[in-house]
Amino acid sequence: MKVIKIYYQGIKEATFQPKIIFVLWFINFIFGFIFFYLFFEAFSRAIGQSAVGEELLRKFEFNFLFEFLAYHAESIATIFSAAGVLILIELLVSTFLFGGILFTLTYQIKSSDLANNKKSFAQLFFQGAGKFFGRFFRLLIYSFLLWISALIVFLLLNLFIGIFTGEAKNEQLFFYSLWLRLAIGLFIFFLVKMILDYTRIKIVTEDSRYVLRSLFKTVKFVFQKLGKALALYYLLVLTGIILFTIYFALKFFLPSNSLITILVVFLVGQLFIASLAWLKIAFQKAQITFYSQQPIQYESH
Amino acid sequence: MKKTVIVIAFFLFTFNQTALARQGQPIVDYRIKVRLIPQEKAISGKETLTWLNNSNQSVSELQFHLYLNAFKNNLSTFMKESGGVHRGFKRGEQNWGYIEIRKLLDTRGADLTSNIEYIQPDDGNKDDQTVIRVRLPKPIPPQQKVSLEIEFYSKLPKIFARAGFYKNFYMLGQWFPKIGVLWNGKWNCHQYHLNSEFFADFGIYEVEMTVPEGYVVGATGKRIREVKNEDGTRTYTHSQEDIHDFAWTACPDFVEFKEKFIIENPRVETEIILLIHRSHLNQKERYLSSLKNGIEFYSQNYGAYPYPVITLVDPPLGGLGAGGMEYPTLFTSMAVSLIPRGLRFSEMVTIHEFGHNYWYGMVGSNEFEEAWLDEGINSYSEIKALARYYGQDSSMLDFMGLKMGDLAWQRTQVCGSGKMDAILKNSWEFFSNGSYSINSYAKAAIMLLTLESFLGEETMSKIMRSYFERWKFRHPTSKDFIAVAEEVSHQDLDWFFNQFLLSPDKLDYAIGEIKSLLLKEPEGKFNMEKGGAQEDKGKGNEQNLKMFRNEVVVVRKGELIFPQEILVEFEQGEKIHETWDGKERWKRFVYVRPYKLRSARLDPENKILLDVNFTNNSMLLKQNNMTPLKYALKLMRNIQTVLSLVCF
Repeated sequence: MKVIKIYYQGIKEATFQPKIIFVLWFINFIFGFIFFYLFFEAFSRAIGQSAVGEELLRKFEFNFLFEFLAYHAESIATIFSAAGVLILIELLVSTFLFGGILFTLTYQIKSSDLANNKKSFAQLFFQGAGKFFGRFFRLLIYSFLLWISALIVFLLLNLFIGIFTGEAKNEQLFFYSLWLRLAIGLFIFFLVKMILDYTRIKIVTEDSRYVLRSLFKTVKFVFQKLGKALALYYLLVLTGIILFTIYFALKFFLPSNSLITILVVFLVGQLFIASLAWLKIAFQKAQITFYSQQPIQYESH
Repeated sequence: MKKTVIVIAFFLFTFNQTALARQGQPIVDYRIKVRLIPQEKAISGKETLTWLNNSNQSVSELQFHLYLNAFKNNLSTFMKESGGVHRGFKRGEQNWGYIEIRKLLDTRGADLTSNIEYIQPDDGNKDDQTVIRVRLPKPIPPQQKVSLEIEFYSKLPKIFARAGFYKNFYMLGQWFPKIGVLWNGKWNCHQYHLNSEFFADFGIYEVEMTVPEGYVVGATGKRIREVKNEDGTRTYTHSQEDIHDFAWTACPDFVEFKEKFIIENPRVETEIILLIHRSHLNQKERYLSSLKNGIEFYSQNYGAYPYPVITLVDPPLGGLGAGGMEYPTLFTSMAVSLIPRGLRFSEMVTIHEFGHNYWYGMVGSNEFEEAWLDEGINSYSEIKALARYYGQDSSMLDFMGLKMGDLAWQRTQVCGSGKMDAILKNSWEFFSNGSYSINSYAKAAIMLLTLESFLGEETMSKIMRSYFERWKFRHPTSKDFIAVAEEVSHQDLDWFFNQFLLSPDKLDYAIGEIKSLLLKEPEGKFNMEKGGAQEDKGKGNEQNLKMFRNEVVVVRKGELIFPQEILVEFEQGEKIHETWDGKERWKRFVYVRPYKLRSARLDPENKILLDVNFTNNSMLLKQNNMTPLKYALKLMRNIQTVLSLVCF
């Protein structure tokens, strides 16, 4: 019950953070817009003057896709190169923003009401972002240790599953084992993400400069509270799945063959991106609450 | 050895001789007894071959294929060409297969074993042992027969290319010493290559296969006997006339389903045998339904399926290297359990491989030298069959809102291919395996669909029927196909086939330019008709309509030539249909109208499927931004989602 209460609280309080949601959505939108520009240019060159474009507006046609891939390979290569660079930049920006999100959310716990404080949202948010960027960047580097360990565990489990299913006569068993491997992979992936979330929370709430030590202590904390921590995390993951389902259902039923409908679909898409930002805050808020309710062991400076 | 006959015959061997309508005497008559030896992953057999010298000259040597020697070592031509990989399946370590002729007797009494000599007619690779020559003590006179007794032993490779074993699954294709074809006065007996399949004479096969009890056996032709032996084995005998090959399979994990299949127009009565691996039982209905579709389509479009039986073999997951192969009255398909219904790969393979009973099985063209005659014609038929039963735009993929037709899939291979090879070429002389596949399958199929658009569906249908009817149970060449096409269509089609069969070039026409220019009134000094007086012009007549000079320039970007239709549309709604022989590099069409052009389209119905770029076949006067906007926004959203998740 306690977990559900914390989950509910996280969801509720995330809803009252429109400014953070806006910042996250806006940064994402800027990155997305760069791709929009690249794609728009490439498509305009490819089909802007062709009547094929008129047909594509009505329904997607594989003939065009294959021709586009065959005859516009350079444009596609440019877009993919840009994608690689932009994802790296977005990762750094996201690391920067994490400080702002967590600092703002934990500040509100410490000081009961933001309005009573003299600091504006922007001051508070970017102060936190700047303050913790260096520590979170180090955490990003150290997290490779965790990812590599997780990969080793995953490979060992795979090997173990393979012993029982690799030579299986029953082909279904082989396919089910693929699903099992995927489930295990996702479980480990979420576990590492969760540990990193709590490490960031620990660093911010305790203003700790000892990033590696915080990481190790968080691993210990997570495994001590594994059941509840996982329960909370998967409730939030489930919320994300529901969001995805709603979005894809809407996308499936909405036509997009006129300017108005194209814009409607675009707006629905942006609402979905904003809802992901909301969910990200809900994750952090709920986990901050969960972490705060545990006895805190401060670092010795 | 005492044998107990359990079932003497499931059905009497009474298939309709008139339906098969064999041309002349059978050239070959094989009687083979073969035993599967699972512990050795091998077979041993005794073959009695009676061969008719159907030529008008004496023959002093015979040539045979020993296909399994392709897997004997890494120096065989097949292994050198493939690098041990076939259709993505790799040869395992220490996985060699071979065939040994232990004794070869002329039934006139001579032992010819020592007369065997390996030859390499295609590439001179002395390490290749896939063809032998046997010198005869006495020549065989024209129209005379010779009988040979051959004892052989074949060690099977682990399956990666058509034949071999995987655990307890055995696929026996090209497994016995098989005589070549005496064609146009000389032996046509090619080595086993990566990119080639088979060519053989029609005749009679009767094969006794002995396997351990518990194995389920499937084979070419009709089962005429099943005998339980005292040594814990069973012997199955199959027999069939008017075929040119024999394949069989054995596996204890097969589940056998039999079903009588009858269609009325044209009359077809055959028995479907499905040998499905027990791990794929959930695919049973998909297999049966697509096979029935295939039988119906080919029978209705080309000629009634004449054989009394058709066997579909479903290999296990590890034996998929044997999948997607055709043999007379038996073929292998491929499926995996849990594959979604919307992914129609197994339907495509089933219909394609069944179709080879027509283009390869009955119309016995030379796959080594003119692979397009079976693979291309069969891919053409497959595209049409899949479109009929599963929809033109969804015949390959109809899953989670994504749809793709077989036609688009095949065409894209042609668009994306290079210009290395023409369609008509010896199969082992193609630039690469990919080039062979694209040209022999996809490009040839798209070529025939383009021909169909040009001649009309009805004429093309008559061509295909006539070609089948005239050349079934014979060995046609490309020239024979062209002759039928010209005869039926009453057209000289050399211009078509000379380009598309013999040239590696591409067909690409485009709208080069369209423009609408406002016509200015004449300005300046102009001579009058009389006396050289001059008149000033230039004052506009307000009452005159604005006139536009509308221009459309069509260009030929590729080397190949094809007549073109052009649809010109004007803003006001007027439509003009133009034609162009397409021979020059470009042509300009000019229209003076009081309104502007809207668009120009070449081949407005996309009938010329060989055109490798449909996108440049049309041009709008005003740029359309809506579609780029739609797809750019869509991709933007997707990337935003990915970024959100990556940085979550």
